[in-house]
Amino acid sequence: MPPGLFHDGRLMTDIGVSDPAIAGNSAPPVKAGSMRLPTHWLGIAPFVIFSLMFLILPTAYLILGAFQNEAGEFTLENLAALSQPSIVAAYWISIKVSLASSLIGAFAGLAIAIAIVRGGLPNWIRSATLTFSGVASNFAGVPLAFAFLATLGRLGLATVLLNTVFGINIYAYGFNILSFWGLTLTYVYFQIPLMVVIIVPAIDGLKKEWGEAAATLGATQAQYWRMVVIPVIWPSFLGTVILLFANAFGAIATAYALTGSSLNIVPILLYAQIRGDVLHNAHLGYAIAFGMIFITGLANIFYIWFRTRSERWLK
Amino acid sequence: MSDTFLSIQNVRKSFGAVTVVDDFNLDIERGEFVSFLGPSGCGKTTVLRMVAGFEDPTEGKIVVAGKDITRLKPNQRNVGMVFQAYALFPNLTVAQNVGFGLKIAGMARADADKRVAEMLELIKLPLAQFGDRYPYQLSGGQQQRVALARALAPKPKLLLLDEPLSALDAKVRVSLRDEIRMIQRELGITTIFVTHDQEEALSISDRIAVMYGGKAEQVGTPFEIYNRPATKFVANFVGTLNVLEGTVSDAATGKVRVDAQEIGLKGKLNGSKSGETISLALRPEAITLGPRPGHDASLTGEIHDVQFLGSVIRVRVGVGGSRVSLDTFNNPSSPPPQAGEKTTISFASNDVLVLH
Amino acid sequence: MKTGRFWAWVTFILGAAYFFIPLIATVEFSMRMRRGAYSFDAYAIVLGDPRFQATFGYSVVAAVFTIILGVLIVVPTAYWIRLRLPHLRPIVEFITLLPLVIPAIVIVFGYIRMYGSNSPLPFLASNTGTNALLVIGYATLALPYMYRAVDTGLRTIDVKTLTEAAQILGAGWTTIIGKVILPNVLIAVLSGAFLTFAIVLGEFTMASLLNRPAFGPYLQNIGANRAYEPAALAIIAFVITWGCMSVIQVLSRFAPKSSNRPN
Repeated sequence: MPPGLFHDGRLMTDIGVSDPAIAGNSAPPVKAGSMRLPTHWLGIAPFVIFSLMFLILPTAYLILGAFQNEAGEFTLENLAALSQPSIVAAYWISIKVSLASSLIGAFAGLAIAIAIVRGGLPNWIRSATLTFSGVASNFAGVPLAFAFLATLGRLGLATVLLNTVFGINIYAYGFNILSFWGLTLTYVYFQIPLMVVIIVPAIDGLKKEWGEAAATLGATQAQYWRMVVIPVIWPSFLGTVILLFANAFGAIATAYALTGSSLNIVPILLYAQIRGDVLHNAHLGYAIAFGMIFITGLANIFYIWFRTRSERWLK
Repeated sequence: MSDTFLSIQNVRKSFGAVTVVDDFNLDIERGEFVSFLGPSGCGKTTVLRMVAGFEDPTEGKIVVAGKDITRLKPNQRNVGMVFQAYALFPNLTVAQNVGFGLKIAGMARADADKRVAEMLELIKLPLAQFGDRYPYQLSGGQQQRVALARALAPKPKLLLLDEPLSALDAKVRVSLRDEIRMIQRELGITTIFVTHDQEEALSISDRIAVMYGGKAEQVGTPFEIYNRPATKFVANFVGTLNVLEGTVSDAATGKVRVDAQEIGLKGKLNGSKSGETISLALRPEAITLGPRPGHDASLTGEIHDVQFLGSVIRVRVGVGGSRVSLDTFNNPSSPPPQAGEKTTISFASNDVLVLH
Repeated sequence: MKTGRFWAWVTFILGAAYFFIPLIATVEFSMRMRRGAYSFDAYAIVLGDPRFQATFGYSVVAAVFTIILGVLIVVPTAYWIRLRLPHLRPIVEFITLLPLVIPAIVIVFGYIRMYGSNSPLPFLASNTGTNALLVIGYATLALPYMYRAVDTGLRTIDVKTLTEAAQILGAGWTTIIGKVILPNVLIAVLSGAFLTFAIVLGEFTMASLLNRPAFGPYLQNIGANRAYEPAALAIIAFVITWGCMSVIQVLSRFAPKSSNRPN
């Protein structure tokens, strides 16, 4: 994820404050001589070994594998094979679901965050919403799928009530919980609260005085939002959208429990490939994994590029 | 007053059952610098915020240049405001911050640029060097100067300063204080300055409104506020004050007994009866060690302690059960008095404030 | 301002509806098992299922080991980075955030290929090895949250000054970490731990691909074969998640409130 994304949450409050613990030009007295380097590095050796062995190397292994054939020679054939229609379709629907759920989640989450922070609602609503968001953002996976089946499945409460009370049979209108919109609607259940949890501190960081200063300078509420609020929140917002996108793009449990393998998204395709080599080509599996990292990585690179380009005021 | 520019009339502000400002009246002349001085919670900031338009008065009205602005929105009032926490927009450069109001007003780009350069010159942060910096790259004092320039750039009718110096460290506070006053004189802008720091208010203002409990206790020049405090609160809040308990022994001749010693306060007792207990208040600088021409009252006591403060020596003298602080100038050729010495203090009976 | 508040209420109520309807529907559905009357039969069946008990127990144990492993890796690292290697901080932070970019399924795929029975490090050759690999994988998933929680905890206590103060008083490294630093970040560590617990308990992808008898795959299996039990399980899972988050919130009230922080 974007480095510093988590900082965005407390970004406003930290502006202009340099962290004394990391400013670090007054290094503590160290034992002189040859002992110095080893002790320094020993402290993070477990972390370095762990992250190399269980995070970086396994990923690198797959990436390399994506560019090799069975004989271990360099090839682009695996990547080329990604272009077969079923795989392209899988990527496409994954991107669509991730994009739709992250954008809907982001805007709805932002709206809720603004409502509870700036909307003049009673204080308990704010704390209740934040607590609930903490829970709901972690309520993903298989149980979430069950909940939505019980709600919007063919026998779900919402489906039945809409049909009996309002006479609207959503399935007759083409809705299906096992479809793009069904999955998107389900993902939004953890996307919105995640947005709320991350963006509320950023909105809290908007100082009341900024709005008042803008007002005394003649700005309308709309001008203040356009010239100050949106530019200030934008980096946190965009960073969170990227996080939501990656969050949805890699998710499998919810979709698998919801749709089995009837909705062909990339993680489910990869899952099937790992379990049973359904593509009959081990290295094509590597290529699919590489493609997933490539897409989430690309999103992040875009974010970093954007941020360094346009947000010089962030330090 | 002939040239009243801002008139705050019978203003009251209640939040629910709590009245924060009660029947506040003040006329401010064009170009005048008025401070609202008081402890936190006295309502001074609320009055300022009502002038700015952030709070609606529950009752009363606010008139600027003959026009009732009580119901105008903040962005229609054309006031400039500086906040304690600087409140610069973090996403804009120094030049963009200063130019914010001009851009809102739709000023032509070239004119706006010129005005920004002018304002930055005024606060001694030249455009070429500071214009492209972001707020986080400035010190607190620099940020506050930029905030001042931002507030002044659109040529507001009123300048409102809400504790603008409180977040700064002591040295910067004094220098920026002087700078604010200089700029204010130069532009001749009518200014309200809210502070809880009496030294700040005394040094910078044309007039001070000392506030307590939502009311103006006294409005006057710094000289009047300091030397002729109208109420016990003002006397205590502004400056250091020595308070001696005394008993009126003879109201007719103005004799007052303090710790078995008697002093004459003719004409100061206005209406106190014999036998009544009163408080006598004295500024440290009104008292001297030993006699001095014009000092018609004296008391004896024992020096309790001596603080050497550089140019001034603060001596505390025990008189009966009370302690009296007084300041004497340092004299390089004679050593300061010693604790434990017996001494006489004197003062002019005219300088005594009798607090009932 | 009046219209602002109106729209705030509208937003809040719409949001609340979206979030509560599925919960209500799930509760309702879970109680429909007995024909014609609401009952807790589904819950009784689920809780009485020996496989539920076995898989739930397995996942709890896995979560505990994950937390221990995570603490052992994260606490010394975060401490050391703050104290001695502040210039490496951006790199370490970047690495800790990687699991949010690299999907879990990709990480576990890498494990399967790298640590198979024929590899130099054959984790997957034995049951214990595979269990260990699952815990390691979970620790990786929890890394961003754990590191963030501990680092925030360290930030509020001014590690450097505390360490120097302890050194001046003659404390050795074990004393410093065990008696000075750890107690001060204990709350942060516990918060991270409970978050980890919530994430790990129902985790499906890694457990399923490593063929572990964990709670996540059990849930999926029930979902594919039963009607009302899944709804009951969803409610149970929600309650557990809620419990973990409540503990974190209660804990945060006891966290040191940065009394001596210079900034």
